[in-house]
Amino acid sequence: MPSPSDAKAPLLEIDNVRREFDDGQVLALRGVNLTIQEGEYVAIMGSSGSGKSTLLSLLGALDTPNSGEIRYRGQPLSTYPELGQFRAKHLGFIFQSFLLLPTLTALENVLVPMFEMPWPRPERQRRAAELLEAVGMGHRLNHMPEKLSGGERQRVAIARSLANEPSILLADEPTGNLDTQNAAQIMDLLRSVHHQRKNTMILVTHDPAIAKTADRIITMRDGQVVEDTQPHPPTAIS
Amino acid sequence: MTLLQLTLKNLSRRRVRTALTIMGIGLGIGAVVALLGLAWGLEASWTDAYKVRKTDLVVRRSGGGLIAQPFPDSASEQVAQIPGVSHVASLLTEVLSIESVPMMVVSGRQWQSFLWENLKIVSGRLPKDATEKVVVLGTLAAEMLEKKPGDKITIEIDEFEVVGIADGGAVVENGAVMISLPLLQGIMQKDKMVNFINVRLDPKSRDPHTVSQVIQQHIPGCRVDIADEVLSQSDGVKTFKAMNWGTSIIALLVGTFGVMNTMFMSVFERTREIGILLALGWKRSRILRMILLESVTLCFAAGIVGIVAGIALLKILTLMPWMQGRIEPQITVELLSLALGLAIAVGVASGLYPALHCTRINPSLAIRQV
Repeated sequence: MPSPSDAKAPLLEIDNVRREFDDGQVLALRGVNLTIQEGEYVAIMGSSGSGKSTLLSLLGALDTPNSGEIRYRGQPLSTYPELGQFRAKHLGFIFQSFLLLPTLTALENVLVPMFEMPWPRPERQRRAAELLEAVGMGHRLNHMPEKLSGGERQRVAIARSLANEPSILLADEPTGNLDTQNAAQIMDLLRSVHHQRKNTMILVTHDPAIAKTADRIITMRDGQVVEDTQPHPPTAIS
Repeated sequence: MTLLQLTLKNLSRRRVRTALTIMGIGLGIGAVVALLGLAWGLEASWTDAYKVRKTDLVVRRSGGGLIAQPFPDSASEQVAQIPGVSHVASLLTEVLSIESVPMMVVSGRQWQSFLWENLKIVSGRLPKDATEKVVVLGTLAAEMLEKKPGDKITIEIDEFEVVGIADGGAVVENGAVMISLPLLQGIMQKDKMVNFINVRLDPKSRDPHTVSQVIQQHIPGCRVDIADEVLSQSDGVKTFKAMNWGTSIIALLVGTFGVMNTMFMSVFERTREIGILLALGWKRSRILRMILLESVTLCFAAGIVGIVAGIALLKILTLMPWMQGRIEPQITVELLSLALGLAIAVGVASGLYPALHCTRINPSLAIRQV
């Protein structure tokens, strides 16, 4: 079992993390070191194959490193007996291709992560409806994903990522499948969510224009962090 | 939204495949219902016959099939002398082809024994004596043979007059041709031979198990069964039941692999979705439960279909000439519960491996699948 979290520790610490694939033939991450504070809005930028998506998978506890350690509030993720529980309680995911469940309505898609929370059913329904309302999808609660536009699907996915009130939002190319107008609206929505809810936002993108909306830009190349800048004043909360 | 609602949505996305799988395992469950309904019905039909005759013990030769091998009638006199026995009645039972009916029970009964007492004459009369060349038909036998009192009936090469139609109170009695013992012994050329001795015990006597042991000691080569257990102890019935169970198990195994195939196809198609659920924080145990619930729900529906199909099949079989008068299929709560229980067990067995496969999915790789 993980030890009690350290309130003074950084939200996320990535300590000399390496990740290999195909028995070491592909070296996706070559000893990455990073610290991410609570409330930061971070963009991880890089070209295809730079290791940014692998890093996001590791930060999202979807994958485990070959060596090195990732700590959440001082606790190594490797000490969590069920990483699913960690994801359910602390993380919200937004994917490039939305990844909504096609047989479920917008409302039901937002309800899916709440299976892991101890909330009664009416409470879940209320929360899910409120979240969809907050992302401008209150009028499409019972629509199936196939009946929604790309922008609308990503709004539902954003509502779903917020379902369990996570401390960290992880967005993997959230505008990659959207046209310019919808992409701008989604970025505005993410910025607004970050401001209102004070979550830590970690956004992976290959688009410098999208990255510039973040407080901090981490640039990756060949599995390593090559640049870590802060173009905007940080929004970290005390 | 509950896990069951999610399960139903998953099953309804491929309606044709779900329906075909339900039909497949449903037929297996239907076979179980029909075959066990027959086997249990066979036992119950003969047990009922002994009940209406008020027979406590049945003496017959060891071994043999459903119709026991003959033995000398003199044994009945020995049985009658045993303390605790109040009445004995010898019986020669044969299954013969009579006119248009291919298999009919012909029951040669000791004249003036209690075996004639339970017969309620519906029309006509009983024979006047043991030598009168007549028969009495059970109500079902009369229907099957389309005979009424006064008609002639040919058994083997001898012709007899039907003098009465009787209600014997049990399907086996009603489906039989009843004739006095010496006449049937003559027809079958089994002089002074019988194949069953029905025994009634003195109500104040020792318990039936003790008396049956004493009879077995006095008549070597014979076995004695408590009337309720005669059929279940019969080698023929044991073989019949074993064959029915064997067929049922094969049908269920075929169904199990069918459901497993469906579940595997279903989870392979949904690898990405299961990856999404894992990414969103679903416990692996919840994924396991969801897949198992899908498989059990599928098989539960198949169980309902199978029960309906099995009952329909039994109703059709009841109309067959070779069934009438011998077996009344048993459709009991016990049988239906067993069918549903087996369906659920098939659901768990067939869903477990695909469900375990899902718990090993790597969410990071699964969500990248196209």
